[in-house]
Amino acid sequence: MTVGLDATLEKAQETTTRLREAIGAVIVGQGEVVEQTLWALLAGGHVLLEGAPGLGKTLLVKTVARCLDLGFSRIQFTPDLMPSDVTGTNVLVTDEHGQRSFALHKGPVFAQLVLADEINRATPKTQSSLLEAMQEAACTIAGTRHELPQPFFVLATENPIEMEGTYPLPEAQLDRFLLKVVVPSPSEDELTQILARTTGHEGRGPERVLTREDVLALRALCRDVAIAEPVMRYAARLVGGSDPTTAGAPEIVKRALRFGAGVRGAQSLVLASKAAAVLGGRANVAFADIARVAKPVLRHRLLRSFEGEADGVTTDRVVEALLEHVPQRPPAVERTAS
Amino acid sequence: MSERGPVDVPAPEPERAELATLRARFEGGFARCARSVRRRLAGRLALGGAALGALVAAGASGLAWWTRHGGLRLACVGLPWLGALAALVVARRRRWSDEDVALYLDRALGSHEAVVTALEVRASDGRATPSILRVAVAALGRELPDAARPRWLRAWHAVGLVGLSVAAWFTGLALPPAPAAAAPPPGLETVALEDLEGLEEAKALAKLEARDAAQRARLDALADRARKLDLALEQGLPRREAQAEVSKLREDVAAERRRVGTGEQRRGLEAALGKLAKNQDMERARRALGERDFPQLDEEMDRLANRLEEDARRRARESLAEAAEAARREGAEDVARALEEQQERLGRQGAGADALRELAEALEGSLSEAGKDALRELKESGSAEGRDALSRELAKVLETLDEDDRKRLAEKLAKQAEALRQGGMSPMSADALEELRRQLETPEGRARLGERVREFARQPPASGEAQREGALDGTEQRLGEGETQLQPPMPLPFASRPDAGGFASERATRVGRDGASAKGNTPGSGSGDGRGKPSRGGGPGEHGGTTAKVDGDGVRARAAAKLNPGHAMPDVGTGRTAGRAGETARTGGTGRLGAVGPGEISDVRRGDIPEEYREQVGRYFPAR
Repeated sequence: MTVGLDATLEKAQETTTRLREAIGAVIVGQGEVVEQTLWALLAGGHVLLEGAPGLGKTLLVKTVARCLDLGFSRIQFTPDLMPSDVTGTNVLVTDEHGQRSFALHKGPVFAQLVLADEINRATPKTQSSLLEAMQEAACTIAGTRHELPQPFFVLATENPIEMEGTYPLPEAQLDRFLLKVVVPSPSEDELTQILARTTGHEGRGPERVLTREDVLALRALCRDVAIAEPVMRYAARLVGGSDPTTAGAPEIVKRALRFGAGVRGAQSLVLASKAAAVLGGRANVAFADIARVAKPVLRHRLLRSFEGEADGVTTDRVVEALLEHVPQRPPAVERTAS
Repeated sequence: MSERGPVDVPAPEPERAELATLRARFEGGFARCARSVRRRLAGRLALGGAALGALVAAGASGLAWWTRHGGLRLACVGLPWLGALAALVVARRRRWSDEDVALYLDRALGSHEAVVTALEVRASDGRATPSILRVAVAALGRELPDAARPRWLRAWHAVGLVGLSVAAWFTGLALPPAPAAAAPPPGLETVALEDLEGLEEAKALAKLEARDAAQRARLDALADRARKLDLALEQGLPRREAQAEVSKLREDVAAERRRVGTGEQRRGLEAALGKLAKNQDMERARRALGERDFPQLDEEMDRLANRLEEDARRRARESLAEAAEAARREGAEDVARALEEQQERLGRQGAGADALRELAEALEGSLSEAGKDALRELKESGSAEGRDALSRELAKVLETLDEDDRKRLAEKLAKQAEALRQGGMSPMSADALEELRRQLETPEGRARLGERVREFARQPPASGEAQREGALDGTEQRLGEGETQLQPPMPLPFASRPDAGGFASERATRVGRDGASAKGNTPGSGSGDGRGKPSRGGGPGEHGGTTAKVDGDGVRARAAAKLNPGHAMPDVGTGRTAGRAGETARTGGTGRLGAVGPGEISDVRRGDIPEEYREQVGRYFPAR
């Protein structure tokens, strides 16, 4: 008899493999985007998908929603979208006896998987209506707090090209997203494959792979993954190194950043790395997991300075510099091992 | 629950037994691997320490070889061991913790930090613990692969071999030759001389007639010091000490020579000079006395005796008497005695000169032209040469004297004898003159008369002061040569040939130029002409010879010296003070650099005081 998480991990790997395959049946390429979306799903975080129009962001979310047996809703963010359009509101209703009373009309946020499409087109007031929902998985309407169904998973998209008439997400809002996934353009082969799939008859939709309970179990498994203190310290050093006021921060951090990642960033780093470990079939987090998830976890949490923006220093470049600068192991160990 | 099969979450309670087994296997495997890793690390550090020690040993043995400490080179062989030992101590202090070892193992084994995580969670009962332990145990395996262990050797350890080789090479290498011993400080070498110039003369001062008892004691002390120095030099004496002793002795001899008229007697000398200044005929004699040059004073007195008539000589004697009296009043007894001696000398020499002149005038008709010139010279200058020439001419005339002349001469002799009986002065007594007059009758008598005439002109013996000064001056000069003899030989840029004289010839040249003799144990053949004061020196040195011609073709002047034209400032010393080892330069005497007069002591030269100034001073400040 085998004890421990081995069997669970094996099953989780098998399930996630099937999930990847199901998504892959619809989405051509974008393997890293799918992988990162799975990290967020397992870690219980939310994802901000950023990419040019037509790269399949919305399709990806819809496909994920169809693969998961979860309640799905889509909110198309527009400038005239009101917070109540997101959260819902109390409306006056008349019952069969002619009695009139207020009844809660739940908004689209009351779903397990919410697609916040083009989130940066809504006003900050409307964007902030998602704050409580994303952080606490609850929603307060007319003074009454309403728990959201679990698992609650927000997938937001934004377009980095069309900036006119958009409202950049405030830092507080950005911080609520576990990951910011950059959707790349497809390669020539992928594009050819996309053309072949989408210009003929529509095929069958993706099959459901995971139920709500499966997702919750995977999330519980993710929390069971152990992380050693040196690995945790490495995550802490990475986040600490992103603070430009820190003495040991890399030069590029001091020059190009105004603010670094905070505590929530470090927590996200560890959670995402745990998810990555689960997907790797391991019960513990490795340095490599931390390094792998660092970019999507930290890139939207670093606030560039004027100089950094003027020089065109991207936050991805800053994270790369951090990974090069912060040692994973003590120097003596690193020297001896190398 | 999904139709496709949900993720089966097992119960969180692991099997205790299996977990315990896993823990034991992990701890055993980790301990074994950690031991291996730590042993390797300590060994590698020890090798590094040994390599560093070998490098230091190479340097140290090289240094020991360079400084000729042969024994230390062997001790350097122990330095690598010392380095290894020190490295082991350092390894003990820097021993890796379990966490470091686990991190190293994870890195080396590629176990995705399973080992370090297992190390932390091995005691917990978490759900992931068995899985992590299992992965860690699998990673550690039964035996740690060699590739996962730290390597014993590193590339830079090769310098240890090089250092060890160099140290061994230095150990086997013969020590370099000892450097030449430093030359002893100049002047410390021992000199042994049996015959140092001037010491015999200094010893002879014991026999010199002294002016008084005090001078007797001083002269005896000088002679005694010379004797002791002679003995010490025979046994050997450091050159510097010998130079100092000789120099001191010479200084003391010079001080003794200059003692008359100095110090407390200075006022008496000045008073005597003031008295002599009243007589114009005594001017040169006064100057000689002022300079305390008693041989010169003798010479001046002889000149006055030859030149002056009876009245003038009487005035001169009176001046001398007044001067002696004035000197005695001022306490200058030595000066007074010297003047009285000169007074007596003037009278005696004057009488003889008068007789010679009278005899010459009596026989003037028989004198040759040379005799007449000598008579004229004697009257005008009173020189000793004129007197000598006249006496020779008179002797010739006496040999060929006719009858008339003999009668006239007899009358003169009778007159002189009568004058002597009346109280006059003459080198010959009245009876002797009377005897000569009788002898004119015979040829033998005339010959004896001629002999007497020559006796008139004979140089009188020197005065006591002149004799003492001459002896002391000669001793001083000879001791100066002795100082030169004690100087270490100067290296010459060319090899001296035996016939050229080399250093000795150069010294002889220098001595000869000063007028001193080149007598000594270094018979140089210098080209010095030996000119100078005849009274100074006078040694029987050999001044002949030639200095070999120097071939200057190969000699190139490298210095482009530019001398400032002009002269030394008045009344400022020109550096002629003698520099001697162990002595101050502020002393008078004669050194290698030249004679240092009394006025040049303390580096200030005394100029001649104009006569007008002396007279004015004498008028306003008359001597008591």
